[in-house]
Amino acid sequence: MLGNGTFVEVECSQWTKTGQNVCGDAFVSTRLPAENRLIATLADGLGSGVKANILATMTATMSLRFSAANRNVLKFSKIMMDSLPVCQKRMISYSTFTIFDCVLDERARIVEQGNPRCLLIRNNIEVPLEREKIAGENDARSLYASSFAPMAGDRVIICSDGVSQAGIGSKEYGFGWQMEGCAEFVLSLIKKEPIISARELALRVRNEALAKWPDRIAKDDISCSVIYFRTPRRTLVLSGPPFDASRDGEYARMLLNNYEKKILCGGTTAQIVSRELNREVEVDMKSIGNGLPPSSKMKGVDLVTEGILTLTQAAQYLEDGDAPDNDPAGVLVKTLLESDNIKFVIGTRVNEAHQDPTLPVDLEMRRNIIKRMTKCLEQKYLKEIEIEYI
Amino acid sequence: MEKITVELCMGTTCFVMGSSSLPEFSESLSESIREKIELKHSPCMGLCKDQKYGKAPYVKVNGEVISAATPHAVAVRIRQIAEEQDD
Ligand code: FES
Repeated sequence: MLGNGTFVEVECSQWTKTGQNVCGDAFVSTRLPAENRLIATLADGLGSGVKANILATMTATMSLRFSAANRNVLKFSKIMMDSLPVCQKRMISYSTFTIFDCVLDERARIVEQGNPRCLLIRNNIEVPLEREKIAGENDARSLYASSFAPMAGDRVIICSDGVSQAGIGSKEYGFGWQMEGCAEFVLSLIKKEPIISARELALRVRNEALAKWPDRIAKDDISCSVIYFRTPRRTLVLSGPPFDASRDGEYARMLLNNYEKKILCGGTTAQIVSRELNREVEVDMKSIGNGLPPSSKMKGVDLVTEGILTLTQAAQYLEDGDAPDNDPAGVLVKTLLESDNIKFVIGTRVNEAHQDPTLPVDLEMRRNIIKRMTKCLEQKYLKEIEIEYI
Repeated sequence: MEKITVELCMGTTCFVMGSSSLPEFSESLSESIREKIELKHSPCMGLCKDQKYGKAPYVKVNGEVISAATPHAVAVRIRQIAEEQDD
């Protein structure tokens, strides 16, 4: 069973079929806090491009809504099939799907129709799921149901056939990568990085699947979603000097508390902590990139960045949904996205120099950027945020 | 050999005022002077908060502040110090 406070991380990574503008797979998820429940669906629409995207999006969203309303899966599958737009060429409407529906601390139920079988990884082995056929004659249209009681550390991996069939017809992977190949890859990755996040794992599987296609020309849309039951990762971010300098010590000592990741954003902040905790701070000139000031290194701190410029860029990356890994703002974003709970402690003393109208750039107020970032982290990335002003 | 410490500030104010080009100061120096230099970087030297130091970016050469620093100004100061040391 799950320990108290277990967090479920849900992430999906996709790659669009080469030559298409939109992905023909759709992944959606929702949390129903009142029922302590989480539902996620992955659908793969017939064909590719816009048409497939519409089929998949409709299927994924409908199955999510029907599941949330506790409707009978056999009935709603039929409703969905009947209501999907019909493909003009093949005169069928079709989208395969997988529904993952989990009441935390109780059961996870999985319904699969046409997608590659999903994987349950526990204690670094693949646990076979007992699948019961609940409807359908031919294999492609059959519905399979399975269930299990989730335990802390479990991972469920749901892929579209762009993963299992990756490389199909090529010299090396004539029959495609297959879920066996994918499972092997996932297990070896988890062995090396036991607490790899859902986000990172989904991304790595997607990239590996893409690499199976000759010249990385994907002949199908690729989707890998990962659901990871884990103890929440807590991150602390200190940024800005306290309004009252007599609180510098108290501020710096917050770093001694128990957090998985600790981040400092700001040159003065780094100096305060360095002085109060007697830890050296060393600028890492190699980290300079994309016009941002370099980050620094300090013992016991995972990341030390410059303040306003880096935060502003990070807010932009968060809003764009894409961050490079070769500049400090990108590294900051990556660290934040791998956290579940993030506590920001924001110093409110204003640096007069930043308000100087002769500066060649307008520097935003720290509070405003933090608000922009936290809003995005909460709403778009479903992170739990706490902000304290000092 | 007597060292010359050079500290470049990479903090916000100094950075927007052009401190990222400061590492170029060494390009115009002779090999023998370069060998004497101990280069450090700071995440903010705290000078930007006080008007009495003049304009950013700031560099400290042997502890002495150069304001509105340019690679050229830093190199000039270092050469002076090196000459004084040779005398
Ligand atoms: S940013 Fe250079 S002294 Fe503060």
